[in-house]
Amino acid sequence: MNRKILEVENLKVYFYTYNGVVKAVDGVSFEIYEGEALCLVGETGCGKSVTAKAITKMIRSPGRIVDGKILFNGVDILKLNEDELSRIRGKDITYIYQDPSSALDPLYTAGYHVAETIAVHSIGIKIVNALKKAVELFREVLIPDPESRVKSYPHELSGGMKQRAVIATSIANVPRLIIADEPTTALDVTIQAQILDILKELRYKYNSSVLLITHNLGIVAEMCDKVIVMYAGKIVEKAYTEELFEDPLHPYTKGLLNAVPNPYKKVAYLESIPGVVPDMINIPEGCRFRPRCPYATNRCFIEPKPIEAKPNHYVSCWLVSKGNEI
Amino acid sequence: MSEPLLIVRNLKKYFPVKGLFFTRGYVKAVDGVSFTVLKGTTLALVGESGSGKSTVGRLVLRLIEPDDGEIIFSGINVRSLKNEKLLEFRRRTGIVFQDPYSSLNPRMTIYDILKEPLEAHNIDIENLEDYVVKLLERVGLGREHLYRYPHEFSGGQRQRIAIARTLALKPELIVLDEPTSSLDVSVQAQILNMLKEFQKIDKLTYLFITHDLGVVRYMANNIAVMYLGKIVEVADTDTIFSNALHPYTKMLLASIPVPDPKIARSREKSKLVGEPPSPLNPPPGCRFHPRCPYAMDICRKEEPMMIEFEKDHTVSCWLYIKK
Repeated sequence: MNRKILEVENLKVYFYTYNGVVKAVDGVSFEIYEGEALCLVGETGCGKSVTAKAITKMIRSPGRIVDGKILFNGVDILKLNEDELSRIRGKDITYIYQDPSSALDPLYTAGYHVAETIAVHSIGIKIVNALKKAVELFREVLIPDPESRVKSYPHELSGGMKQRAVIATSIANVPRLIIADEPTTALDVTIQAQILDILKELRYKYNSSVLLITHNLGIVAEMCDKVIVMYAGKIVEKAYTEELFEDPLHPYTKGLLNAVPNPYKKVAYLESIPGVVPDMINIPEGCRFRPRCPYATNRCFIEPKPIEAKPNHYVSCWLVSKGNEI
Repeated sequence: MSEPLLIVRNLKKYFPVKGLFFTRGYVKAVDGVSFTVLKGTTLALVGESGSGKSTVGRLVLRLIEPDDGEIIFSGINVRSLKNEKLLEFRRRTGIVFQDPYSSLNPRMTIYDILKEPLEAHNIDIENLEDYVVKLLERVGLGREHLYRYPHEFSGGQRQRIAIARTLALKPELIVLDEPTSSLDVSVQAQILNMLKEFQKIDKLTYLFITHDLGVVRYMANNIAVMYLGKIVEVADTDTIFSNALHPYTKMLLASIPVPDPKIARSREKSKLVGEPPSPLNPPPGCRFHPRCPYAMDICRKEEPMMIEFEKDHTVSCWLYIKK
């Protein structure tokens, strides 16, 4: 069995806004093992990006991590100060964001970003030398003509090329954990497929763990070993990818899987989930999916606890918890 | 077989790129596009960003003026329409845009938004409010939403309002320009089902512009694949998914992540290369040749013409042109 690289326990991130407290992430627990790819899936506002940011304590005011524990390699991240954190960020834990244009500084060349990341985290390496390493890394992410591309400024590169440069930056220090937050949402499908291929290859090469955040279930199926489904700040289901697609237990997961139009299967009618995602300030009582759930009953006014319904398949739903009534 | 409602022949739109003093060149956004949409069916225009699909959608409604080509809408030559005739054409067509945040005026109430098209076309309706409420109810909203403003609604609800506004004039042809791209999947499914239902009841004809092949499979009767301002392949939906001919169509199909781990992991993956070139300097010959795994000499020199490979399946690729 592989070692746990990251353990998140009962993470709570609240945003204190003028309108009220937004409980964006409300008691999320999961772990990532070495070399594993884990997906966080959910719709807009379910708290998946906030969870990812909280892992290196990058929550800005009015947000606050109010509770929980984040253990990275056994170290409690939430107890570290900024200096200690910046030694981890960009080295052991790296991020790839949705929009590569805002991830790169327009005043610096693409190669400089990579070189800077290397130089900052190692003693005695000058940026000039690190630039040579940048060329190699650019070659690794399949940027054509890497020698001249390291000298290009972000505006001279296409979206796909920029995202490759960002990936090169994120692997520069051989990270233990890559957090990719919707890395291909801004890209065209053919480019998306190329970027996903690169990510997959690098992950095996460096044996890095990946936390992939996406709303695209197709990407989940292609990329991940395990999946976590989030809804309104909570984890509703957690399982191995094959298992989750084959036997989804939570009504929300089922609805989500049925709602995706599958290009490989012609269906006469697409099942949709009625209603809308709840307002995060006035969260429904009990199970948060209750107002949209076709199977909701009175006991759903009490919040269900996650249970292991099948081996390694966790779900928070009263439908499944029948046997273990509180 | 139903009759054609919209016929487009050799449509062209070049956007000038201005330099300091002179026009530096032209972006050939749409360069000789022809297709036919049958009454009561959906034609999907599929392609990546910059392929010109949205421009085509605007051109056929004359929201922008084409530079060349023919647009025939139920027997009328659209390009020569003027004044009242053009207004009538506008009444019979409609468009739904991708971003429901910018397509609804934030200072107007939903009631104002929905009655505006009726006022613009001088259509007198007794009991206007009831008519608007009926429209709202069709898209799953109600009377209580009448005097609210767009900011009070979620993205999915706004898109419903935009659809209701388009339906207000009872159009025959609706251009749907990525109507669900900015929505979450659960909401996307609601909107798609609604659009399908309206098509059946009102015998609507859709020109559906999208890059999502899953949505296409669900919505479209026919598919036209665009690449850099040209249509490279046209066929009915099942044919495109089972027997795609053009290498670009094949590449597109191979790129979609399939929401099924078994298929996703077992299907063979062709190595994808390259990015779409700039439409300012499209490559000579076939525009796809720099990325094409089957590129031959002739592809670099001459542009392939559109040929009918089998009935109702046309493709523009040298691989299928017999000399």
